[in-house]
Amino acid sequence: MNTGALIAILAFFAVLLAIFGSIYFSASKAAKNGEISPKGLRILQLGLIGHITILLLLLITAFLT
Amino acid sequence: MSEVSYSTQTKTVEFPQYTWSLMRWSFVIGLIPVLALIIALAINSFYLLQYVHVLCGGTWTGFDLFMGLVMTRIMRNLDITARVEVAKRLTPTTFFIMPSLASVTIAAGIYVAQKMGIFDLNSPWIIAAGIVVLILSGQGFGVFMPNGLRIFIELSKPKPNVEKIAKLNMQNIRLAGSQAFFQVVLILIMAHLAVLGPY
Repeated sequence: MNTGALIAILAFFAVLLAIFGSIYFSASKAAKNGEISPKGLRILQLGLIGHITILLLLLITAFLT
Repeated sequence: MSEVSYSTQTKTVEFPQYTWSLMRWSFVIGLIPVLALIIALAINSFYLLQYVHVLCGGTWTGFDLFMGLVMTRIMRNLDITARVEVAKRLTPTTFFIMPSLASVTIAAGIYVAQKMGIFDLNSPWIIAAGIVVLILSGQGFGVFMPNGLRIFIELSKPKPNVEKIAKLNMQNIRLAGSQAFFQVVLILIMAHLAVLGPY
């Protein structure tokens, strides 16, 4: 296992979740108030899932070196 | 007819249908670099690892150079409606591809340096590379991604602010140009590391 790579990818993960999460949180509040379309919120959800999938795959590489 | 239709009674908006297909496309293409990296490491092929690193880095740099040198000129000569139409398609198309290329290039670069035995954190060249990578990552996480999300959010509103969408998209395109500059600097550092070593 490559500890350095693991820490670096987890740090990327944390930053991504913090930034994406804060924007998603404000968007979900706006969706509840009817300010934005539920489909727009769905796009953000799929975007988050997609980024998490790519980062999880990248995380696997830390265990291959 | 506009591709974004509104209903003032229900306050909902029909999100452009092509957004889904462009995002799916972006995701599938974005999976290729990371899967190639996994394969290179799984079969322990240094040759393939180098190939993935150089190809992803070259594609990432080329894309940013294209955005910075070509797209900025094109966008300046478009009216705001056309700029928004470009933004509505460009944002979902690049949404996964660019972060995937960037993260795989950086990760593969670290693995290549480790395998070559030059990943020395006391080396000024490795430190310089690390600083440039941090700048690029900061721009990606701090500006590119939030701007992309804000464009999606704006498009989800019953009355999207087209000026805001065009402005956010132009910010991303200009920033891609500055990323290209940092990537050219990074390639200079990489050339030194590959040919002359870490000192």
